[in-house]
Amino acid sequence: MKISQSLCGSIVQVVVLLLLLLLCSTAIAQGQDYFGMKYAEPVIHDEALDPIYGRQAQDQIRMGEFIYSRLWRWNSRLNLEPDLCVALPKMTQDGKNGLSCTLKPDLKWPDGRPLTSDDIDFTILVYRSNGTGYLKKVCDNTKFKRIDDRSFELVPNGEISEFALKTRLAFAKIQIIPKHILLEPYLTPKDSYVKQPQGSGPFQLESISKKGEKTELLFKRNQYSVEGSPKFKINEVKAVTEPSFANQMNDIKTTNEMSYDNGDHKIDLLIEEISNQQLIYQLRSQGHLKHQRYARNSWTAIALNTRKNHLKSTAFRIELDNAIDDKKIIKNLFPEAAKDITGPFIRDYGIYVDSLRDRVAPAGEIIEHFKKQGYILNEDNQLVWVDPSTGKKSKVEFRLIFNLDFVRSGGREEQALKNIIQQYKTLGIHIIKDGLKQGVFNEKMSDSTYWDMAFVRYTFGWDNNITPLFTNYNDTGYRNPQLLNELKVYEKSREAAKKRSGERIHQHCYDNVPYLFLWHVDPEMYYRSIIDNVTITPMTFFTSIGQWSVSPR
Amino acid sequence: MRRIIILVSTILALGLALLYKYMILDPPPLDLTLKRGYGDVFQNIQFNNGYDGKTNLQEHYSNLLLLEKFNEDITKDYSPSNALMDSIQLGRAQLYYWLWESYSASALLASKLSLDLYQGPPKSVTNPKLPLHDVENLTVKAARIVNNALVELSVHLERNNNSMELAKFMANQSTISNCDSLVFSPPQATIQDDNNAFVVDPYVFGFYSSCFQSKAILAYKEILEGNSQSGTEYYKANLQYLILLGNDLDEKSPLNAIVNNEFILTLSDSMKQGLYSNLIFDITSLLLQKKILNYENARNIVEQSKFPYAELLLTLMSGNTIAESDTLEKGIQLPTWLEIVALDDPVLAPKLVENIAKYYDVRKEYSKGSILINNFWFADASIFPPKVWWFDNYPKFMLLSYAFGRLDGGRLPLWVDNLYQISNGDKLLGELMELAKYYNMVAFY
Repeated sequence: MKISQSLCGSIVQVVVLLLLLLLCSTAIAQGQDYFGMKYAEPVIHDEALDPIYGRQAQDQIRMGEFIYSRLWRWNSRLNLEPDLCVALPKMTQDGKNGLSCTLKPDLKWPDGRPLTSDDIDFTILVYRSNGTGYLKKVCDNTKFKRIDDRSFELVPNGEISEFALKTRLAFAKIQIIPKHILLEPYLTPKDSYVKQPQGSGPFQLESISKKGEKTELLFKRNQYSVEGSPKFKINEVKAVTEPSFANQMNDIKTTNEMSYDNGDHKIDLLIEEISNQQLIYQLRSQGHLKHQRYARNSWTAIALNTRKNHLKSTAFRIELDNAIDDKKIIKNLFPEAAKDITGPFIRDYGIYVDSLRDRVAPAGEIIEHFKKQGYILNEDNQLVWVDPSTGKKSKVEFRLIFNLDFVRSGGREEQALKNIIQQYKTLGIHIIKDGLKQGVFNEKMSDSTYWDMAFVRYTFGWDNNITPLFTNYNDTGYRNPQLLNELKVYEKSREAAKKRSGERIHQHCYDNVPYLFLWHVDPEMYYRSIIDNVTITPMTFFTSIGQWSVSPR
Repeated sequence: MRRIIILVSTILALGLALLYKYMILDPPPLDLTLKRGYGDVFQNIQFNNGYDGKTNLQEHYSNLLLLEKFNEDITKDYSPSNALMDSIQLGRAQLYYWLWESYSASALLASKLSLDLYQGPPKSVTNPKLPLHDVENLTVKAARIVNNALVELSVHLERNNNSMELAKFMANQSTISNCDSLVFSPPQATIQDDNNAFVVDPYVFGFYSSCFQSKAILAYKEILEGNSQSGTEYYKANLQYLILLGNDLDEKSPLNAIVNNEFILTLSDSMKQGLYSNLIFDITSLLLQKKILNYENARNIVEQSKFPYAELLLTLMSGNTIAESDTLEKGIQLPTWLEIVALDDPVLAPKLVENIAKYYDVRKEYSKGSILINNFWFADASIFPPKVWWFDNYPKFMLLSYAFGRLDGGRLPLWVDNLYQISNGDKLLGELMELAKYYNMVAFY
């Protein structure tokens, strides 16, 4: 009897122990599988998040990488890798320069509907109807040949030359659109799909909420996504706009590593460039943060409105360039962070004339040059233009506009701008400083009568496509037939010819100064040390998110 | 009163005479860099980190020009002391040594970039723009590089990826022979740069590297032969001289005659004191490769360091050529990433990373090497690279890292930036940077 009692007791103990173990392992498993992360964007253009209209701003491109898949794609190492396709496309056997591809098995949209060859065909039609630029061109020149639900061929519709190369490059960017949702291959900016997109990427957009100036986009993991490394445990991503820079800083600096679901959870990742040197030091000293430099093809400049008096003269613009000692500003304000530039390209992306030297001259010399151009310094040390035909005198005065999101209080840009304005004051040039909020800035920038100078930063793709600066988005109004012709040569040429053409463009811009080219900064991102394998490559942005991981908080 | 006036006048006259003697007739030596105020020439070269004291910026070629200018200035106007002349001679030999290392690393980088562009990168690279197809209208010389020389290079690198060996191989193929005339008039590496093609001859880097190797050997020979001076700088010179000899000569190496038991003991002692650990690893692995030391003795030397991966580093260094890679055990235990970032030795940690990357290169595991190198340089800047690397082979390490890390296209702009920072005033490194820029332009288009 005693033996049976003790046996029963032991069995109960073992069962209880097993139950406890089961409960623990379930809890651990749940914990491991359920991590979210939150990151900050300075602004989110949520009015369009689709592949056609939502491609204008970098934040839209980043959102797109959560939502959409491609047939194959660029990874963060700048290699093509299969995405929806089983492998990278192969040349067709018929010798017609086509590409064949097979989709991964059992692909589904987030709503459970199968993703098939028909969706690929449909996507090509949408890009043909509503796309722009070279993606549309490639789709126009692509004939879709369905083999079965998973297999298809992309063959030339006309131009055969380099079809395979161009199609490989273009389809690495073309995001696949669901046929069963859009139904017809047409998309207008007013369609609901543009704001509530659905794709087959790692996440799906769950909700958009707005509180005043703040926007929050909640992305939930797409249960049917083929994305993700074995370590990929991110089930939820919140992209938030935090217009207050101070709040962003507090959020990332807070050491709170509480559960993601906890209400006081703070920002995990900050990809925006920090321009305040003191803040950089502070962030770098935080034990719970890591930081990483990443490449960005961008430069800071003063755009000169060449439609305006004085600024239409190249000789005058050259003197404005002479007045700014870029290297001194860089040394004082961007130590080891910025590089001087003399033209519209960045050396790191392949095109740059290194023999060109930054212009700089002492104030006295510049004033002498101004005098030769017909200017005088009046008794109040103001630079005055004397009209040679009428003798009428007018003071030289410019309105300099800038975006307050870019030139932040206490930031390096603010200090740099102050320095530049001081230099112009020394020359007797009066500058009206005009800081504007993002929306207003864009509006005023497009009104060429409003401004004379603009302190700006431009960001480009890694393909060095600077043509829009002098065509569609020609802020400065600088037009030169020789430059326009060279830009056409540049667009059409490749490799060595492109290099040479780019160098001629650089030289032209240096000689004619449509912009005062200042410097280039490689930004740094900051993130909590519980996140691993983060890579940001602005050519692909978040394509590597499938490799990221978040440790238990 | 008159006496007082005479006394004051005498004192003033004496004062003026002394002032004239010590401040005008015998001026202090010129500041070598005109930017930093080190009194000692050798120190000046060693620690000249470029303008504004920017970290890790070692401009060896510019420093060589500055050194020669300084030498010319002081010998023109007065007879400098023997100590100063010795210091200049040591500095010159040191710079030759660093330039040998830097240009041999450049030869590897130029080879890898050129091969990717014209022969094709490793299969793991799926950027469809590499290699370039149908490059037309090449000049005769450029066609010879693209169609012949690069093929030979590719075969050589399959056998041996050691940058010093590569430089030697290139120098043997070269038709240029007069190094003396080239030291201050570097050769042209760019073969074609027009609308049709951009081609650089990687062999020029190897040849130039060998020139500096010969110059360094001669300079050290002159310093060390019949010189009984002791001191750490002369010990360092001795180590570098032996490394140069060991890399210059084949089996007939006279190292056997120079390396005696007493010398081997000094290696252990220096390693124990943490003195020139970088060079001691180089010489120990070299002596091991040449079978002058056996493995046991070599290991005993490097294990005197406090570096936790001393033996692994020695194994990698002595077996890190394709020819000898069989000596590496297949199951070699490499440290994890977390173990690597925990290392705090600013000299040996990068050396270990470089050699692990070379090991992966030997085994054709190119992506692994590339990921390791890129993580080390860029992934988590709060740990690596250290803020200040006060070690003198920075350009060599940077260039080799670029060669092994170039397969991470997302970081290519950052590599060009790093290369730019050390290419100032150096014609050949400037040409290498043009090649690197071209590579990026092709890959990013």
